[in-house]
Amino acid sequence: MMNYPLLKQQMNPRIKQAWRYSILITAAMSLVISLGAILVARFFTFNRQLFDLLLGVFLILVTVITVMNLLLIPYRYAFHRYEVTDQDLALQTGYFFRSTTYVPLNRIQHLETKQGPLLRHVQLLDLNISTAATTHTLDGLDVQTAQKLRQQLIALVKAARDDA
Amino acid sequence: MPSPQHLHLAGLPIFLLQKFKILFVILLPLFFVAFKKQSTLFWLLIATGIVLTLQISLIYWFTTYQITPAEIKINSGLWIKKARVIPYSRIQSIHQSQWFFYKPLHLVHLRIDTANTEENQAEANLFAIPEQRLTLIQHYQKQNPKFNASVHEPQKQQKQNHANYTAVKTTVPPSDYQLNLKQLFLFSFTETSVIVSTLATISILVTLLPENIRNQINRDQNDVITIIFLTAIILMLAFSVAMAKNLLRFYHFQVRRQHQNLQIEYGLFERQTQTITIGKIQSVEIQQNLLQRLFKLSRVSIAIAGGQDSQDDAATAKSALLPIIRQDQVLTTLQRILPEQDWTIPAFHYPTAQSHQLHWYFWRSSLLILLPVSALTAYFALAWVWLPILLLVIALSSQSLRQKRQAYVLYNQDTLCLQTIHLLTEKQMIIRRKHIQVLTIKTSKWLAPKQYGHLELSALAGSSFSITRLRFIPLSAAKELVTFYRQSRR
Repeated sequence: MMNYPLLKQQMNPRIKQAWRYSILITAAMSLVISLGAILVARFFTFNRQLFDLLLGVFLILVTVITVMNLLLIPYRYAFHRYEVTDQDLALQTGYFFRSTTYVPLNRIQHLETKQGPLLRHVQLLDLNISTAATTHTLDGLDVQTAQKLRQQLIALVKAARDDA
Repeated sequence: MPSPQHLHLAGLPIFLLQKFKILFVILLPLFFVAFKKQSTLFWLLIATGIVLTLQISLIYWFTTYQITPAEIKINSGLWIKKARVIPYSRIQSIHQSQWFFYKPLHLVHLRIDTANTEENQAEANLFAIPEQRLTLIQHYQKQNPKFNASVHEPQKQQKQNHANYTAVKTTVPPSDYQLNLKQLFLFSFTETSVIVSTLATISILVTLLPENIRNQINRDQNDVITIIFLTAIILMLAFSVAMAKNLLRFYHFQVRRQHQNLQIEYGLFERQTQTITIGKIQSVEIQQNLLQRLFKLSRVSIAIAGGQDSQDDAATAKSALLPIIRQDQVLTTLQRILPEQDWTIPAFHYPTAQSHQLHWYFWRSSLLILLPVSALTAYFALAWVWLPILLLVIALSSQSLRQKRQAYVLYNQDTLCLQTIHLLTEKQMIIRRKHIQVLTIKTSKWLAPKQYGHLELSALAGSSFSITRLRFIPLSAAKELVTFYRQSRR
């Protein structure tokens, strides 16, 4: 971690709970799909051995990925950061595969806040930042921070545009 | 204000063709099947065709346009009326094309691109309007305060144009670059896309060969001369097809600099003219594939923001600026066409060329995929093992070349030139800082301690964006580029 500079701002810790729910819901949906496949398989006669093997591999993969994702939540949180300067907005994601993106403020075309049921439950918001070419998301901001950040970005974008 | 004008009826066949293009592919086989069986489906298809033709013709007729000194207004829609207003300041490029049957009628097909990235099409698509209306649009565009033209037209003439759409007479200056037939032949010979279309034509020709000739070839397969002779004929035929395709598309290709506009003209049966405002050019790309490197030739293309109608290459969303040019003439020609940019590019920094440790990083993905594939092919189909091995050799060569040749240079405080390798083709992208949309540094848990990472640059190209990557570069080099990008604008 020492060799990799981290940005200043972290998300609200409640985002970890939303991620946990999201991982568990994905796992539950995968299990429902497996159950559906078992029910469908009862009505058709085909290679049952191959079907059982594929289903076994699928379930093992779902279990491993779910456990891994749950264990990695603290790391994901530690590397999920952002920073706003008077020139640009920087976003950082990833633990194994790390990415730092720099978006100059005068490239920002529009800002959008989003809140799904999971984020609503933990009282957090997503802030989408769109340039002419790309869209970036800051997920896991509490409502007040998101609104403050949105106002701050709008003011900075205006100042940056006036300077350009 | 001038009254709304209808599109000329000569454009209706082109409009119908464009609207029916996708339907044709789906419905034509169905139509033939229905015709053979003389079923009710046949008559149903005919009735649907007539109704659709009528509806599309009405849509065409109800599309009107108005050219005012401030904007272009387009009204369209049969049931739901739609009015689109395009102020001249928003125009990124104007693309005009003229089918051979438009010429005696003095008509043009006009497509106007703005920075709208929502749709993959031109914002204004006027299928047939008189030539003088185009001249009027160009005239108003020049009058626009944001259009920094070096020559101003007299105000008196503007009033006259506004009153009755009288054409503004403009003199056409000589071109700054043009493609002659010899260069067109060289272009066809060295383009990778031509090689691909040659291979496609070969496969079609082989399937179209009559059964008895194919049997003859099978019987004579030991006859080396017959095989060589047939291969040569097929290659020549395929190359002629590719050559003809290029001749139709790039015939008499010429580039002309006119004040703050770049005018690109090309095409045999459908003569196309693209007018691009200089300030709207996002990046310039100089590229050279293996064959072009052998003949010391290059190709230059430009990326502009806007709908995809003005690009000649939909895959890369870029327009050809100099389709083929001698390597030593590239920068002088660019200096003449785009003098606002300094084309004396300093020496590149090659961040990965010297490090032997990086061979593995560049090779590992290709080895990981193609070695098992080769092993499996050798086990199950030994006769085809040459194919994955050939792919592996190409992939490894491409990656080695990438390691040696990927480079960057910062110059003039606001310009970046990146050199990358894509499938053995060397590309140099010249972009000003203000046109870089987003810059991303990527690394991993394992690369970060070794101080290596990747740099990704996103720039606008058409209605989408292009990403240029420098792979496995030292993080210090990536940070140098980020610092350049983040420095305050002066």
